[in-house]
Amino acid sequence: MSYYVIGIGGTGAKCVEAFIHLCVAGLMPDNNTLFSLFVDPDGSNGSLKRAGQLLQNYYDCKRIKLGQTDLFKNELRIAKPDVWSPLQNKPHQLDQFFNYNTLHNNGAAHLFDVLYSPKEKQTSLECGFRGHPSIGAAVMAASVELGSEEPWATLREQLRLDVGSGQEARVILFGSIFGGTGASGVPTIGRLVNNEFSRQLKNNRFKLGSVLMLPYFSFEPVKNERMRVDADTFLLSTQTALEYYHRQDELKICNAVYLLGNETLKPMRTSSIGGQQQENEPHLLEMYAALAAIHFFTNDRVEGYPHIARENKEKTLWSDLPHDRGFVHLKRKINQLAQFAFAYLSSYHPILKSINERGDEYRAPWYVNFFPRKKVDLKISMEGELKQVKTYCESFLLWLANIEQSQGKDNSAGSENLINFNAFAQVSADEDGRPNIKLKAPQSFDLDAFGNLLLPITKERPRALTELWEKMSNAKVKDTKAEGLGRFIRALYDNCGHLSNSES
Amino acid sequence: MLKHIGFIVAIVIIALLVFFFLIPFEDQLLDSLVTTGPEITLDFWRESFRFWALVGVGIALLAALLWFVLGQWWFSLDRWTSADKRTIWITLGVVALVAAVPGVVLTPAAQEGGRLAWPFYLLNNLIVFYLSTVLFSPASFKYTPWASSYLRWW
Repeated sequence: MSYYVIGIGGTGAKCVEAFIHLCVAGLMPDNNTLFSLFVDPDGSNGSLKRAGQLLQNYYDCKRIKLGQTDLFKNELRIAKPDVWSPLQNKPHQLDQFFNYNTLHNNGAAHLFDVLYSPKEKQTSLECGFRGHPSIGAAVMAASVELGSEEPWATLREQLRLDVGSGQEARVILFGSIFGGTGASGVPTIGRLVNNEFSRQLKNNRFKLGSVLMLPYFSFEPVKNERMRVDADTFLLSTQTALEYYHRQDELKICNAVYLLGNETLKPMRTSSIGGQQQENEPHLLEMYAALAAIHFFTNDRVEGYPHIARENKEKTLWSDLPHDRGFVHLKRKINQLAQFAFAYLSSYHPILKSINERGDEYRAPWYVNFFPRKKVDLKISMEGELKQVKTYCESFLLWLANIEQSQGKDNSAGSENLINFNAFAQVSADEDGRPNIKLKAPQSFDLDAFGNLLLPITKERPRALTELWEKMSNAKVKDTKAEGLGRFIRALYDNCGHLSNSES
Repeated sequence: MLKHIGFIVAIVIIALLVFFFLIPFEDQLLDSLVTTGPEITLDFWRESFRFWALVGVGIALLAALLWFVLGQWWFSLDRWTSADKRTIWITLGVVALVAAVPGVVLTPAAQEGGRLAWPFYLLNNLIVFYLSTVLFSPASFKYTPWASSYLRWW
């Protein structure tokens, strides 16, 4: 069985980002292959770019031979191209896209005039559909060609192979319902994919799920833009979209639909109509979206209309987060990965760098055991796998810090919900004076907090990193499938797991 | 914890082996090589040698145990820059070697071969401290003693 993840629009990309982090933490039900694809007319969108880099980073880290472990356990196939744009090689204006000029004096032209205002027809769509799903739906429906165009052709072939070999294929779509690309893309692409496979494949082997994000963030209106997304209209757009989907049975094609929203809208740091500047910070609700996808991939059927909500309106607790194996398991796995990332960035990567530069390898017994004795070349690894792991660890900790901070009512520091992010990140003001969360330099990490990266803090563990170093110095990896540098990474991850287990 | 106690016991055993086997062997060797003058008997000289050898081994044992205790329970490795403790290991090694000085100075002079005791004092102390630390240092510092990464595989 393979899992197919399609992120539609900027919010969809952010949900894929959260999903990938949870996959790295080993929260997927098994180690089946993931296939990922982004849909966005704005390929330079900052959020999309960040998610794309994360996927590539995952792909690179997955090449390290870690053996049988939860860390990076799922194989990943990234669509080529990884981002599909409905406007690729096509005119970027709606009137040109539909050859409006050639439609003059016929019924289609009049219908076009009724459906779209002159402003909608003539605005460039390079930065997305600007919160106008009516534009997106028309463009998407006219553009997706599952049979011929990549990456859809590969997706279709892969799905066909899966189902043909008697396995199940599960596709999940992520997107927002209050913007343009997601609101138009999720039902349209869902319908197209479903039409294709409901005819050709046995239905019980093909399952489609959607994760629809209701409003949960806001931003300042972009000045001097005549057609733009306006956060003030999010609720109205959502209401309209939901009524429309309900009336049209647009979502009936899905085996499961997850709707996620928040009462308060978190103001995003930047406001932009699109492009690189549209890089919105991660939010807790995207973690819920990722957990919804895991729920869909884990369960054969989603019965009825399950509801979940926070126990306390003012605060999010780990027990509020749903996972089939329980929140304790979820918390333990996140803690294990957080400790791994923290230890790697604060201690293990810096001393490897130091050994690479000046020698004195006796300082780190685990280095002697896992590198020279296993004939692993440190110099080569520093430029390759170790660098990739460092990049991942940085992105994970930054993501965690943002998840925590997203629960504050404004852009100030969070109110201590899930993650003790002050141990490794700090809030500073950017060029425009807006608060921005950044990772601390590794030498500034609060090392005493290593044993308490997740909240609430139950007991002080001031020597946890020292204990980890000792365990690492004696560590042996018995898994014969772990090879080369993978043995070191595996040992570090497993020993962080032992610490996590003893803590819970 | 059991492992730590086991390591401490092993360090003590190394010192006991030196005391019960190596020093008596050296003593026998010196019996045939040393000639004392009229002031003291050979038995008295040998008794003095065994005493100062024991003092040296005792101090080397204490140095080795101190190294173990510091490495296992005192040094913090929360910050990776604290991982280099070779200077401390060398200092303790020097203490173990300097423990031979009282023996060198205070063993009565012999007519012939008395100075043969000096290398034995040094050797005994060196063996106790080096073997103990190279084989049974705390895990986090197990390769700090010179050449231990070639000798220790556990």
